[in-house]
Amino acid sequence: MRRFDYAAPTQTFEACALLADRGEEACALAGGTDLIIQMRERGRAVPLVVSLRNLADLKGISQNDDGSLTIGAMATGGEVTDSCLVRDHALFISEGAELLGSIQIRNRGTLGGNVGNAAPSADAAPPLVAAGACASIVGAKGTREAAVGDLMTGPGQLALGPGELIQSFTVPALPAHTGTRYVRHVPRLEMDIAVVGIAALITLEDDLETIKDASVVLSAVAPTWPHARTAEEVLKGQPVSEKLLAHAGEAAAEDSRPISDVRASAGYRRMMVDVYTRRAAATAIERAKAAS
Amino acid sequence: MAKVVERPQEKTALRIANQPVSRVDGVENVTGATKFGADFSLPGMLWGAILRSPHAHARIRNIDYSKALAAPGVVTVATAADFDDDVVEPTSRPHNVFAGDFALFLGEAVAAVAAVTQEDAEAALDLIEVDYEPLPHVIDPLESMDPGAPVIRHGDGGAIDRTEMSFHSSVASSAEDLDESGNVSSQVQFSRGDLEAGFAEADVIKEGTFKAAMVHQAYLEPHAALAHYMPSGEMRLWVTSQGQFYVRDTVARLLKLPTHKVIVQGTAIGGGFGGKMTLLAPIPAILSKKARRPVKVVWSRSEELTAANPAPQSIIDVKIGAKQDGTLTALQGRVIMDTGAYPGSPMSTATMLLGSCYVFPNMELEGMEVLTNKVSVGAYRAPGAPNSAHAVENVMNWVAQELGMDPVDFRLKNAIKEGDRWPNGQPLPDVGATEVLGAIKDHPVWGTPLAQGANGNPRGRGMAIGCWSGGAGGSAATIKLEADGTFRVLVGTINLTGSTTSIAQVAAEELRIPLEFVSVSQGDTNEAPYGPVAGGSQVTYTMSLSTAKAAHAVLGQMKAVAAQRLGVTADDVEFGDGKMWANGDPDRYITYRRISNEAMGSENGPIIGTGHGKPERGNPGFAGTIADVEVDTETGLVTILNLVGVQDAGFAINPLSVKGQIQGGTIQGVGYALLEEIVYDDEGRVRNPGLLDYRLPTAADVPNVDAVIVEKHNPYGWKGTRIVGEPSIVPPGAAITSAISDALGIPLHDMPMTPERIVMALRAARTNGEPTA
Repeated sequence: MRRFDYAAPTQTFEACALLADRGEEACALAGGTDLIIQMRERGRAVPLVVSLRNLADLKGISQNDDGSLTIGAMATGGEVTDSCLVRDHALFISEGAELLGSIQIRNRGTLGGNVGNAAPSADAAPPLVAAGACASIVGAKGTREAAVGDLMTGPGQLALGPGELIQSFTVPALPAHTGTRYVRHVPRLEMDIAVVGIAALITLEDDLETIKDASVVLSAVAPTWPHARTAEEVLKGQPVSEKLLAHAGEAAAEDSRPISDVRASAGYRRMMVDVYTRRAAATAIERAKAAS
Repeated sequence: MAKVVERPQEKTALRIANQPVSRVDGVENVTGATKFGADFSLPGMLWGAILRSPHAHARIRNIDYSKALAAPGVVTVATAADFDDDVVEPTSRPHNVFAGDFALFLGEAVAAVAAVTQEDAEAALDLIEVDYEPLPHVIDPLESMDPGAPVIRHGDGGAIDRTEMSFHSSVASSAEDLDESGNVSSQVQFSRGDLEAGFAEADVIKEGTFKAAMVHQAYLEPHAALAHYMPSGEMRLWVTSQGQFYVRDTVARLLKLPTHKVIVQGTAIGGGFGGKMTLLAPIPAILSKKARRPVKVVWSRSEELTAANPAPQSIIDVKIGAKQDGTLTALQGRVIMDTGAYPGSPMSTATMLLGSCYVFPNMELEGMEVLTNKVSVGAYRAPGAPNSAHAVENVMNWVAQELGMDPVDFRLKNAIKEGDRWPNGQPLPDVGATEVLGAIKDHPVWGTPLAQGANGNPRGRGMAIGCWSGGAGGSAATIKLEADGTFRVLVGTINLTGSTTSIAQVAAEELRIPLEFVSVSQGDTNEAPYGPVAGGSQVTYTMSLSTAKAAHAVLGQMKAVAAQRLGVTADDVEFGDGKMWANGDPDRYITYRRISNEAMGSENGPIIGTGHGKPERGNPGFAGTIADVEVDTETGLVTILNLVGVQDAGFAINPLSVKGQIQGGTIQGVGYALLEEIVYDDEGRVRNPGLLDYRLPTAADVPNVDAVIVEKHNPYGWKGTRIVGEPSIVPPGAAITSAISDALGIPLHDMPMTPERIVMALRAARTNGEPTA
């Protein structure tokens, strides 16, 4: 591991200023379950590490008056997993967070870190995108809002300016008759990383038989966390049937843009997008019915 | 599950041996008090870091480390130039501490820096200027065998160093070194009878080509070593290694130091599985000798996965013929083993083991060891045997299926027995193949039909057996009677598997005292009597004999002292429960404590005894696995429903420890079968140098392993003890892949059977119009 300076400011503006001043030389530490490994095992040089652990306004999970939910960027994977607020609001956010590493890793790793690391294979980020969550971004010039779906521009790339930090995520209130599901494919059951991840959010009509709205977001099969737009169109307005789900799975596979790497081939990934889109949508529909 | 016993009557009832005993070092281990390799430090210590080749194959024209020497904190730099030419053997990885004129794999050590901090040492690596001339490289073993492949060997090879493999197996290697220009470094052949005639009389013939991946031993604790070259000319080392005497001899030879000047303390070890021998220790040793200060080096996990000595990739062809009544008629086999950049793989053993479980009247086996520009391979728990069993046992199951025979009955009909010969002609002592098969047949899992799978997912069952020859090296132990009547046992073997507990049990049993009255110390190479490398499953097998001999030596002295006191001859002295008495007069006794004191005033002086020796011979250990699986045919994910490990331990000194060994080996077999694989890209770079993408099974991936101990008396071991450590890893890969094959109704040929391989195999079968589940 290379020598580095470490700062742990207590004020968000200080953290932003430090990151802005040092530019590429500085990196925010929001748990460290990726950054520290990159520094220790892969020789990544980070001359200044700015820990966000003392920033109180990046923490906490709370329900807003308009029914939306705000999750601090420094909420840990464990907190998001176990939060009743999160589970009741959108179960798949909890499901995604629960897949981050082990219990120990979830107690360090954060939701903001999972988004900020901008890995195409992130598990906690795709449910936020599927739920239409907004990120509140703080910087030297104040605070701005951005859709989580627009934040990631490529592997390791975020649309954040110098010195900007994600402060929190706000998940809008979800309509009635809505069910969610995040599911991923991994060769082993724990301590793994998604080969394919699918976040599905399905809203049913009052008849509970017809799909009113559908949001399907893909993990690990594209440079970002894209919506499977064709699959969503296939589902919308249609009565639920096995055939429909099969059709949606095939469409999602077409929507995906996977690469071949050490974890899986592109061809296999595409097949798994099909299988897991079908399975995720089926569970989301069951949950939508059960909640109604 | 009850153990299965076949044993001669004991003269005296057993009290401590054969009882399940918790590890005597257990509390220290789980409370974090145990000091492992990286925990040792000294005042004034420097940290070492290693520069590694960025090329899979390159000529090293020049190394200029002047800038690194001038960097902050740097004290010294070492390269191949620091070792004399006559200690470097071109064909031995342990004797090529640094790449010399050629780097043979990406990740090979080229130089090392010692600096005041680890950070300074790592930063200085960037300042070493190495002039490489990249050379054509070859990564795939089959391509490496092509006549036009780049040649990996440079200059005269010399004899292949098979030292490490010899620790694991008492069976002599009959491989022939090849010193020609090609990349096949050695080959071996075994034949018996008339192969053609054997296949001609077969009613059923099945064959297949089986691939097994390169896998890592994945010990929890990475390599670590601290060296201190003292003003006295002594070199002291604290090393996590399976064999402290082997480290001593290697360092002494490489640094040209007299053996008695090199003192190695093997630390507590966080796993080894054959992979932790002497790779690292010479680096801090040479750095310390140059710097005249203590130097510590600790490897990262990525160094472990790219530059240690994993288990080899292999391609094995097997063809088996049998008559309708189940009698085997012929076996043909060919092993191609990828040894990486240096020879010394377990190719010869893997080839021989193809014909080691059953009687084949006719056979032809050949093996070839092939060099490639990858990390050189080493030993991993029963080296080469899981690869062999994967091939043979799958084909055996296909033959049984075609014959319509129960696979266990088919094996029982042909199982190897005392007096039968292995392919190398060696006649076998009394082995437990039949008894292991019997325990499988009797197991409730084997007797219960598979239930229907969830969501219509197919289920399958597989079984396999396998064996391992094991080591049987020389060993010694010393026992001292302390002033209060307790005993200390001093050994030089590493407590890799809980062997210390077993040694304490042997001493307590022989001395007829409670276990709490014995402590076992692991001394350094200077103070402890010689102990064999903790490899080849031999520590408990050999040390139980030496410890018993030492106990008898001590008891002899004690009896002489007691006899004098009791006014009888030593032959008339009886003993037990910490006392000695004259035969027939147990009320008039003398305690061990009193004997200890009396001895001091007697001609005997302090009571101390050493036992040394070597088992008359090794005796192979057999193991078997039953695996039930369910396969998600859409995703290829396998769930293991039942996993049973059966092993013949001869006489389980500590059944708890033996069960732990069976479970551990079986779980490593799950890794072989489903998950583990070191993957290289075309440039010779490891693509998964971390434990995220090099997937070990986690606790969530394995069901409870039902460990069944079979005890078939071994006349060469203490009270019938056999080797234990290795055999359990041999059959699970074969059993699990066979179970998947059974579930899907298609033959499978690869390890690991990853979800992707399963889905692709199913798709290929459907495309070809073959029936599947």
